[in-house]
Amino acid sequence: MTVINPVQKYEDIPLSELLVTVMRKRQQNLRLIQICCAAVNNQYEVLYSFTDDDTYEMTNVRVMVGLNETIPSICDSYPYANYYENEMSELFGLSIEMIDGDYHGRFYRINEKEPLLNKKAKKAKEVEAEEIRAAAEEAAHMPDISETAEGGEATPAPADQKAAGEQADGAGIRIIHKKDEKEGGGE
Amino acid sequence: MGKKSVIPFGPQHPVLPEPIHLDLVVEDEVVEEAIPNIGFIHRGLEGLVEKRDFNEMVYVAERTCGICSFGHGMGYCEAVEQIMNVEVPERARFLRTIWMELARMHSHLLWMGLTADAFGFESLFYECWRIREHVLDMLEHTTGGRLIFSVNQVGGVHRDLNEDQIRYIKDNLDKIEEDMKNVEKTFFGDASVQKRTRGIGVLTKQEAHDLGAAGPFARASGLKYDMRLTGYEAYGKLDFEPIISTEGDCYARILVRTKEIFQSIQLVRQALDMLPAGDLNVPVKGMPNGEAMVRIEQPRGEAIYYVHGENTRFLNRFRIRTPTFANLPALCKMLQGANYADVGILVVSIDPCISCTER
Repeated sequence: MTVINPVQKYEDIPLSELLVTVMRKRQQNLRLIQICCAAVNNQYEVLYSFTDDDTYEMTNVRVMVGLNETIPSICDSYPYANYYENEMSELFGLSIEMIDGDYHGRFYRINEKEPLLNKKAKKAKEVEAEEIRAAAEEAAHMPDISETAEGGEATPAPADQKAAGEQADGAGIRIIHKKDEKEGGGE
Repeated sequence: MGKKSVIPFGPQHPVLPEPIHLDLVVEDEVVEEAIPNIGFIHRGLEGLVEKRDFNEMVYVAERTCGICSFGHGMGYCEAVEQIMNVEVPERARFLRTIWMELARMHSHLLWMGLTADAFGFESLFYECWRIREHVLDMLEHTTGGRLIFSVNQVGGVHRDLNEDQIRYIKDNLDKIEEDMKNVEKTFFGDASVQKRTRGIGVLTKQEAHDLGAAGPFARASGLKYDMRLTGYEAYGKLDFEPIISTEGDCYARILVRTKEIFQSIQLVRQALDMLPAGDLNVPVKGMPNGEAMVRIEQPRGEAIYYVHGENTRFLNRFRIRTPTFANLPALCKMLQGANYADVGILVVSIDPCISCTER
């Protein structure tokens, strides 16, 4: 009997290269054997594992994703990836778009939302989501440049607001307080 | 053209030992599409890594499933040993291999009984389970437990085999081999078995590859894919070749699993003859730091164990990819075009283990 002793490789790629990389694996006739998700340092670590049927060589493609970022589904290349993607979406709250065969939260019958996401990551995700919401609200309420140009005092851009908030009272101070809480809370 | 209707299959069904639900889109009693639905017994065992330290997690991993219990414990231990650079003693590797093969035998015999039950051959079902009792007796005699025997630990095993136990196993293996030859004759010679299994649920080699099928299910379609070939534990020192078939139907799945029982008997005999002297385990120092992915061949196919530690006694992540999870897409493909009456036997033919799948 031949003992194969397969090689294991890890490839770290940015999210923008995910679909191209997966497509390349498909072209190489590799088999998707698992997709795994973990919360590491307030980020999602998504690991796609592929194997070669003959050499048993395994390639793990790792993508780091922000807690509130959305990743594309790889169902176009591997149609059966939808089970893994539904699982990650429900157990970890990872946002995945365009899943072919999306169970919309009904793959597992669980009462708790994102049960496998640890408390620290869950808290960080909520804070980050709040920041994004606040920034979006402020951007929505920002007066049109054409109106301010007529004579009124121009409202600073969100980035300027944030900078101004560090020194004095202002709209941006709300976000900074949240950050302070996060840093000082020792969660 | 008939009217399409959706027939719910499971979660409670006479052929299903565990709950899985399928929505079957049926036209004229022919299945057009099958939509699986799991999640009835999800326990979130992987999440317990935050509450149990890496040594205690062995027992949690073993309780993932009652049938594949030993393999889960072994896969987890191997993964932790890999990130902690622990060199497991040779004797422990052989003992793990022996218990793993005994576990494979009882799992396959359980499945053969359930398959016989699915096509209504009750006496064959009893016979398979009667033989399985001998395997469980061997496990009880050597470990103290029949299904969950907790002999694994990070760094080796807890229990040893003495001369009496080795003789007891060898005697029992002879009896099982003899009994299995009779069962084999019925499975492969009986007209009613052939009628219910030949040409039913054919999955081609290409489909098995494209849909990520694993284990005896994939090997029955001609895919020579057996993780034992990678030589983990003592498999590298044993002489065997994966058993494959090319028909890809239910009959081929029975054939592969039956032959694998004979193969397991041979592997246990080889391992017992080669069992080296030495320690059972080594002390483990430090905390797991890093990540490892280990693949082993469970009775139902390739299982993957991923662990990620950050130098604390609690792992950051533990993940099990079970073979049944991998076989679900191929099951759905196989059900397309099948007769409604064959759905039961087709579902059983992948040897579904829902406890493992939902963890």
